[in-house]
Amino acid sequence: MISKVYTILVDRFGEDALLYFDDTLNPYIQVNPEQIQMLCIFMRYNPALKFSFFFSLCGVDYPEKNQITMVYHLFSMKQKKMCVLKTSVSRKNPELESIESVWKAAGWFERELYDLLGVNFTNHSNMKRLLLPDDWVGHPLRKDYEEPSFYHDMETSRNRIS
Amino acid sequence: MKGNIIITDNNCFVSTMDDVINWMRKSSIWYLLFGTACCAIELMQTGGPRTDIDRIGSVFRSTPRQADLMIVAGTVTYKMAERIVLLYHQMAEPKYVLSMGSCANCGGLFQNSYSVLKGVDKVIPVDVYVPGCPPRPEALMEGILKIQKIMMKEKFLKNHGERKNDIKSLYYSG
Ligand code: SF4
Repeated sequence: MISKVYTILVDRFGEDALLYFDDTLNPYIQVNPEQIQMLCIFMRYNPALKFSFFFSLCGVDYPEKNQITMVYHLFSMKQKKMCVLKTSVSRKNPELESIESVWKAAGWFERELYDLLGVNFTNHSNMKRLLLPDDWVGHPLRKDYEEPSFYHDMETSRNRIS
Repeated sequence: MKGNIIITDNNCFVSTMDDVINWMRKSSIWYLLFGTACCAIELMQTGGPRTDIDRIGSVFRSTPRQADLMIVAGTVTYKMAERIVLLYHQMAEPKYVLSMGSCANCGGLFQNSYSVLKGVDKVIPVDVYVPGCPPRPEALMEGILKIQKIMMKEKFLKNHGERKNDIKSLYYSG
């Protein structure tokens, strides 16, 4: 299924940029982070693939591997197939090409990722926080996030008795 | 109506001014429609036919300036907490606050969350807490009856419209 997609992708991008894993529930393709935008454009517009629908984009923090993994779920209405792409960026200075220009819907997902994990998407039209207030410090879904004890003079825990 | 009341013949009664004012107030508790999460569904249900909240004269208002009671129904995030304080200050005195559900009481289910305020009493004074996740409509009704009881004890004429048993005064006096 997805292996067919993989062969088409390998024909275009070469063997070393892409890795195919099918030991998980959803087989996924590991992608080079520099190529993500090109790959997405190709997957969306190639007549054999036509992944026209963008499901979701989420991020996973791996402090032990020192990287943040982005997971893209794409769906092709033509083939009735889902495809999972993964790409990893470093945890220190996470930066990735935005795919907002390919699927408009990805824009808010990317803002959410910036909000919660601190991944910076280049060429994004409006790269600022989506859910949390603009003056929030830190990125709370990072595993090493520590909650400050006050936010705007509001206590953040119930343990302390003032 | 409880309190000092003498019923005379000729269809009239004699009572104290305070009691009459309190009775009028408690029979028309207009609450601020403030559903912040899933508890709001139960708040709507309280307005439904089974626990008809309207029968005690409680109807929702969508502006704080017409409301006597604020029912905080649901999770309060830090972002929302600032708006709650603003709305609370926009309400006319005397005002009451009812905190509905574990989330508004203490953070509840989201106790360890980074973005949820651990209890709305961290930012505004609360008169009645209704526990539950979510509280049943009967429980909310009970809470409003409690508010009515608090209202009946007020002495507005003596205190020039200020609440005597205001929790705020307890907070700030000592
Ligand atoms: S107390 Fe329960 S029902 Fe109410 S807002 Fe919180 S999670 Fe939802």
